[in-house]
Amino acid sequence: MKIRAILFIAFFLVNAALYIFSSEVRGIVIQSLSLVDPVGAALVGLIAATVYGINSANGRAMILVAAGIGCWGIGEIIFMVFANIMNIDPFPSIADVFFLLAYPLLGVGIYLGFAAAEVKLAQVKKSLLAILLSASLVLTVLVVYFMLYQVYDPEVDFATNFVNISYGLGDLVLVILSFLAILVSNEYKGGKLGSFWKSMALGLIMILIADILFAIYNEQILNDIKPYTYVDLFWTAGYLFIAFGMLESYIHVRAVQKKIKLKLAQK
Amino acid sequence: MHIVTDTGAPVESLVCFKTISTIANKLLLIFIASIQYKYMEEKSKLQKTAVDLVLKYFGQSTAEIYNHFFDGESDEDILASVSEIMIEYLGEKKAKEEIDKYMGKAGL
Repeated sequence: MKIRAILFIAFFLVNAALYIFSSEVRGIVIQSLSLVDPVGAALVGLIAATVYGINSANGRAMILVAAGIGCWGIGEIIFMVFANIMNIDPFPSIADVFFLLAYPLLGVGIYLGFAAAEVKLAQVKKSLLAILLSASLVLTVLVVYFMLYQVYDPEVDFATNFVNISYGLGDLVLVILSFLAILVSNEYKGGKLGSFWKSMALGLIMILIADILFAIYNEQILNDIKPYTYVDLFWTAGYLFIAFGMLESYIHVRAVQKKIKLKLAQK
Repeated sequence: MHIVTDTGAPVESLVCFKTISTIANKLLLIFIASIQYKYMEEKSKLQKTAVDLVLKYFGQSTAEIYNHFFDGESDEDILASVSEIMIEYLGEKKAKEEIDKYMGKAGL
């Protein structure tokens, strides 16, 4: 696990170095490379889901989460092709359909995991609940202000406003999902499944922070102004956390299977 | 005329004794079989419950391997195996809760 964690950190640092030393972050090279993160995370998730199958709650949750991340990946590819190859304004476009489709998929997936965990709120430490509620409140205020209140523009067409506001609503869902993921990780404290949910929660929080910062510094980021462009690294970190959690989960189940097969062979 | 045995007892009593002993033998066999059946049924119930728990968290393929592995294992070994993987995967507290819940549901 340590080696894999080091590899993930190294991958993140390479990404960070590219952003820091590149003169054109929004150019085709960096943007193409950044597609590896969501597409890779989705693929890892789908592979991990195969080991569980759809008969287990974890399998169903993982398939939906992987599909959600996959939608973000497809959205990113379309966005990149429109913006960097076809020179078409990518917003609003079909890319947004995929970006937005990710929210319900992630929502149902994480809810399934939460339902399977049967979290008893009465047993959760009051201090943890207080921290979670406070953090959720802060994130909710930021999302409502920067992603709902500020994005509405009466001078633009209905479709643009609709898509903009949908992102805000999607991110409100993401606040709730991060909250649920932390509760699930707390429920499985000390176990490998708890580590998976911890990675999931960290990944969702990183993506949420990236979305909020993107909404705040939208113009600077799209105009390739540093250090605002480093916001992309929060998405990278988010995808990497989720991919790492799913990969570790897959490796653990495979190890359990291998161990029991070995015992079976020795019988 | 009465046919008698070597000991002088009427042959009907010998036939009667043999019938009774045959019936008793059969009853004994049925009794033993029922105990064995009950034991096997309880064991398969525990096995089924343990496999259900593995299925919930690890999915079909792992559950199938465990089902195969549990065949011929004692109750204690099945419980020990399932506890070991559950504690590692769910953490001690949740694993205990889940095992207690599943065993309780199955009346074990």
